[in-house]
Amino acid sequence: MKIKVNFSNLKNHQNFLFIIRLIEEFLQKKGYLKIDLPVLSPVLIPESYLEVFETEFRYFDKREKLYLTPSPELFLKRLLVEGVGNCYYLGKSFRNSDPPSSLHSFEFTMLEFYKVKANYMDIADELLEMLRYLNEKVKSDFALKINLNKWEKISVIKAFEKYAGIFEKELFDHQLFLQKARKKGYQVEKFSYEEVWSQIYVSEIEPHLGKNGYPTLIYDYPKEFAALAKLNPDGKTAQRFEFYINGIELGDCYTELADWKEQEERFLKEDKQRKKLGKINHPIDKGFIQALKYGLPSCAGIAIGVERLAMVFLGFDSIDKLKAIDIIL
Amino acid sequence: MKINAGNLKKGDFILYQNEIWQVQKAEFYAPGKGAALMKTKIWNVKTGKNIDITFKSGEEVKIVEVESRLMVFLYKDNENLYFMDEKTFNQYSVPLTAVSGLEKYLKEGEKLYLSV
Repeated sequence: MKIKVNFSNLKNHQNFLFIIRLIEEFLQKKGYLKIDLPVLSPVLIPESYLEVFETEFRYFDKREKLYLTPSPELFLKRLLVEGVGNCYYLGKSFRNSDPPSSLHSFEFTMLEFYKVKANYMDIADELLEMLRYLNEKVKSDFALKINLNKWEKISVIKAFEKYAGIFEKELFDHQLFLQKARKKGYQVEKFSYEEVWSQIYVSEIEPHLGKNGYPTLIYDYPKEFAALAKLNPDGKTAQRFEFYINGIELGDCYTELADWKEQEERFLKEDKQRKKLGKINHPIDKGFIQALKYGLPSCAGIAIGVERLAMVFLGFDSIDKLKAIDIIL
Repeated sequence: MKINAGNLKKGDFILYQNEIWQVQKAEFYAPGKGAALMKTKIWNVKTGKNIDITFKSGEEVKIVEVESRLMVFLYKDNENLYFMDEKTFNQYSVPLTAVSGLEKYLKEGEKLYLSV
């Protein structure tokens, strides 16, 4: 890997920082409290679909493992339990094993904000207001291409039916789903429901999202894809949405799961899966479960990739364009 | 030879649905749901058609071994361009659909490298 200086990106980089300032301005006007947080933690929330960075703290002859946080969730939820109220973190997060690409960087700026006494659809309203706020202030060509007066809302069930011809019955039954995928020409042998589902989602659903003149909000994912989200009464889907502009996923929101027993079970399952996949074996954040036992207020939160959001607003096709200094392969 | 789709890179030739394609773009993509994926744009060497295909990064993809050989352009007809390998005297045809108009710039007797 090497360091790349992109001095010609300096102006874009300043625009990126301007967008960050606008985001903070909006959230603070709305009464969200800014919190700065550690990026190194001795424990993490186990999430099977991502890999983490591992490092070590050394003092005298002692060694202690530390991990770069892939999200600030473990810290913010502790503060929510303590009664911090509406709050946000805007800063670096880290995800290992994702080679750099036009939409990915292993080190990136994440915005995560939580609203109490709210569910995921309340966040959707707040988010749309934030997008409008950014758009008014940035005044880019982007404004001409998309109307931010409303969401195009579509459920995951409806999207699979509409864009992939996969019906509700097939979507939730793992065996039926894999049969259908095989018929459609996907390789399913040796792959799990989650893997094939993800492939079809990216191949057949995503390209349509955020392309009908409005940003798209796609909601209610199968429970397999929501390790920390509250389930819907149907027992099959979780209260999670993602939002898209021009086919690009920009953020992920859910109504937070407050049931500690359920959360503990999901943690153990995710941890087992991580071990099976040979991922870095980090300690589980047991304090997080303890905090939930104490009582997480009903709340919803969203994580947004700030580089991606800025990229879309500034009309670029890659997050590289925002960086004055980049680490490349 | 088979490789995991996660290792595909621009320029590789692959066998997909019994046809040969060249990878134009390959980007790793981790959507945060299920597994990591490899988003590719591939180009059909016969028809010149471009398509987007997303592979699971652990999915096996057949790589087609290709080498560059110096050839002489002989002539063209309505369907193909014809070349000859000067070392072996073997003749090769390339469908016009695969060269998207580039045939206009070729002169008979001209030498160029072809991937075979």
